[in-house]
Amino acid sequence: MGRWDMLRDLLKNKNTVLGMVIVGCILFLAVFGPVLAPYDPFLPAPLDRLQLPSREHWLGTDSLGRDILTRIIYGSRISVMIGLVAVTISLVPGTVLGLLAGYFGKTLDAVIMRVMDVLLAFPAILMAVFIAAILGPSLVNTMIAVGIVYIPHYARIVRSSVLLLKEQLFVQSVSHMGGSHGRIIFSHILPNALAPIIVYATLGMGTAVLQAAALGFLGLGAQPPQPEWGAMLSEGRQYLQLAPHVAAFPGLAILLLVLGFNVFGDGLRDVLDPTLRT
Amino acid sequence: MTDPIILSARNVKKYYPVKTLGKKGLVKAVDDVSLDIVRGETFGVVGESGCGKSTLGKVLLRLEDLTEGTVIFNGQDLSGLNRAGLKTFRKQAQVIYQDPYSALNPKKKIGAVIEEPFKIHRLFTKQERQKKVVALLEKVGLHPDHRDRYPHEFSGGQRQRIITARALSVSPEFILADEPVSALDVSIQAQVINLLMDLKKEESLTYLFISHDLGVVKHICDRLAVMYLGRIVETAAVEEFFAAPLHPYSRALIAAVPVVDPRIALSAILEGDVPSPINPPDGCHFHPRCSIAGDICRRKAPRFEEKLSGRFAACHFPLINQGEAA
Amino acid sequence: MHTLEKTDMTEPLLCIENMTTRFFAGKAPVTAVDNLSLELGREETLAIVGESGSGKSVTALSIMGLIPKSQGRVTRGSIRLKGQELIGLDKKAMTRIRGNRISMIFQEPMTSLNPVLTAGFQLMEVIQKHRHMDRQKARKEALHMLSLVGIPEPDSRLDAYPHQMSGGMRQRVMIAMALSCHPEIMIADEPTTALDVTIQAQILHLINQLKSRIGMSVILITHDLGVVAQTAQKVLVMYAGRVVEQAWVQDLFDHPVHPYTLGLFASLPKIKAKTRRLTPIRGMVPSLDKLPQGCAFQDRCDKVMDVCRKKQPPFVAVTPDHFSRCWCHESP
Repeated sequence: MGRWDMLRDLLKNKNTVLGMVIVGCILFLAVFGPVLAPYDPFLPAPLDRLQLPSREHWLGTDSLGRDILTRIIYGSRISVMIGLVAVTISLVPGTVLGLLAGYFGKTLDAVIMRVMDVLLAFPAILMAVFIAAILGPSLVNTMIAVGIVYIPHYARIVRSSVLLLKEQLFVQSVSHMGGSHGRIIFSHILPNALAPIIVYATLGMGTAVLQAAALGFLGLGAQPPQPEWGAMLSEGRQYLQLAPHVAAFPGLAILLLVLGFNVFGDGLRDVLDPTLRT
Repeated sequence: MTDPIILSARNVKKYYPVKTLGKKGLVKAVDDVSLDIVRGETFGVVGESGCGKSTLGKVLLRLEDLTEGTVIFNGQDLSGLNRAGLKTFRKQAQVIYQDPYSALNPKKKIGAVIEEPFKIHRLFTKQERQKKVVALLEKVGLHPDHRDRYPHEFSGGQRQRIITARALSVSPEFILADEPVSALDVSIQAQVINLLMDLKKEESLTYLFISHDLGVVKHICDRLAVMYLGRIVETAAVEEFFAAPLHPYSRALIAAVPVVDPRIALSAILEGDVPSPINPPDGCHFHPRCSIAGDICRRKAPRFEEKLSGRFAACHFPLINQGEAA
Repeated sequence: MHTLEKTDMTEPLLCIENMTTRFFAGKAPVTAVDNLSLELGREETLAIVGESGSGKSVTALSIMGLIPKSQGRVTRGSIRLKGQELIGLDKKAMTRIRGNRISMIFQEPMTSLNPVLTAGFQLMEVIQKHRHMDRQKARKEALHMLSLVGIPEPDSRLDAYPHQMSGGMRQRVMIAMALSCHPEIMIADEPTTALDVTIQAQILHLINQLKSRIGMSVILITHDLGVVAQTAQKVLVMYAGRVVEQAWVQDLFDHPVHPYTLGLFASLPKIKAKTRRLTPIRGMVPSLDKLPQGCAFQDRCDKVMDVCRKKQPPFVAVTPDHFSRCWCHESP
């Protein structure tokens, strides 16, 4: 399938287009945020505390009088970065482990997959809390924690693809021609196993942001005054009755981002790998 | 210096352990097979599904490890090869498959597919490789522009040509062709058969040609072996074989092929099914379906031996006189 | 030698006139069967020969009314079974025809049998449903059918699951199911292609035998000219959705006239022939959505003329019972 065909198929589905638009907007904000944002995200303005949305402050201000829109715009950078870094941290080792386990099988497979099973046995958020607690609360540690938690997911997906692919004649024929394991794995198996990984990574962006926000909310993630959406939500919680918008808008931002990535990921899945549809 | 025998197998066995309902058993997919393939010939292996012909092909090229026995290729024992030796062997012996589509990586363009063996064996510079790919495409009857297309854009016959071009790229001496035309339409099948025969002459190749289709085997092969439940029951030169088969199974196999003439009705239909390879009959495996089986056939497996000069069969009652009539 | 007189006197069992089947699911509509006409007499075997994409299987599905509505339909023509028009029949009436008067068997019997039910259960289900028998009677009838199709020890086979049987046995069970309602016509779509030659011979022999024993007609769809020679009385050769040649079997095998049929014979590896080199048909089968103007075979034909590229050739009688669709019969 050519690249243009793929794009055309993607654009056929309205939901997918919606997802692409949301993801595109957030990426745009993340890149050009500092230029667009009307205020300083860190500078407190005690006179403007907890203001409702107005012409000056479209989304109102928080307990320190900072413009919420500005903080959400700056926060989009953090969220996108969390998503990218966390997904990379889980995707790369997960893929490598899945390739090794699936291709070589036997003892190596057993060892790798049992370790993965142990990791999977804990609820994701509990595991992330555990890791974050050990590493100490910070943004970087949040990304590492969320990344590690999802390694087994990628390992499993890749392994099952590899198990199917390595029995395929075109893979076996490479070894019949004298091709090395490296050539078989990287030149033949991996490119054919990419589709489900890409789909899962896209969906995983949303999940990672959500988990990071949860850690931020629990105080184990990004620390004030960083405009991380989860932490902002947590701060706003104290004023929920007085000024609900302080918590509502960061919450809405999280919702939009997760929704965007999920819908986009679903569309990608339908185009790249229709067999994955459940 | 060149030995006329390119590949020689002695007492080759390939057993698979199986478990059915908790009972352990052995499938003797290839059971004590010995054969010699002469340089420059096309050696056919025929038989019905489950007779072990494909497994034999794989074992002979060490695509699967054998359970027992030796395979000598160009004077070298294949099971004794180290990594470098095995890689050289993989260059000398190539495979053509029944289903050409599944043998092609769907994500690779045809040019890259045909170039791959060069890369594996580190041959030529990039420019030279490109030129060779074009030459190979033309050799198998495809257009040079085809190298920028993907496998799904080709028909079955064209895909088989692509696989053939890839197999020829590293100038092998020996090609294992496992049912290479079975999946093709009749009119296309003839094209591929002719191509394979032409290439054999041009490239001085030796083929091991595995097929269930006796008509195809007759056209392309010089000699053949008939397999039944893991054992070779007869080997012969093709003309002699079709004129007068020695083994009753060979005769039944030939008789079962529908003749393309409405005047000649199907004759001597073989009764019964091929028995399960997990639990084959005692003695001669063929005796329950054989019309001339005697007592000894039930008790003792016949030895595979020379029955007429240059003609081998495993049968207690070979069709030496009746052969002419069949 | 057969003659057509026999079928002329009585109304043919099945009569298809100018049937066209089109599919609308793809980007452009595709004509899978174009203007097909045939007549099938009683206790006659008609073979439809062709390669992949020739429309031979679609013809069978069209007769059975099994073309999925979402994908295509018979757009023109008529199919009459003993004078009764089948096109336009409602679903219920068509189901009755399919169960009782025309039945079909397929290439891969494994996919047509339910793997979690015993062969006997599935056979009895068909008998109970279509012939309104109780369980006891149905079981007896099932046993009878299994022995009719030559299954040894039918008693024990009745309780076997499909995977416990060989391919040949499964095809026999399928035939037993197809025959259990005493159909007038059995359509067999490549019934022996998945089987070994020795088993194929058994099944072909069985079909030939049953035909006269229970008095039914057979439409046999195949790519194998050997199978045709061994079973059929009448032959239709199809190419790219059109019938290109039609004749009695002996006539077709003795004097094929259409260039495609001639090509098929030349490219066939024959077990009795002395020649080593085959004469293939050049090029490949055109895809149905990119058929050229004029004759569909033009690009592969050695006798191609200017007119072949412009107009579709007419289907003409070369001799009274032998038809061919080629411009070469028109030119002097």
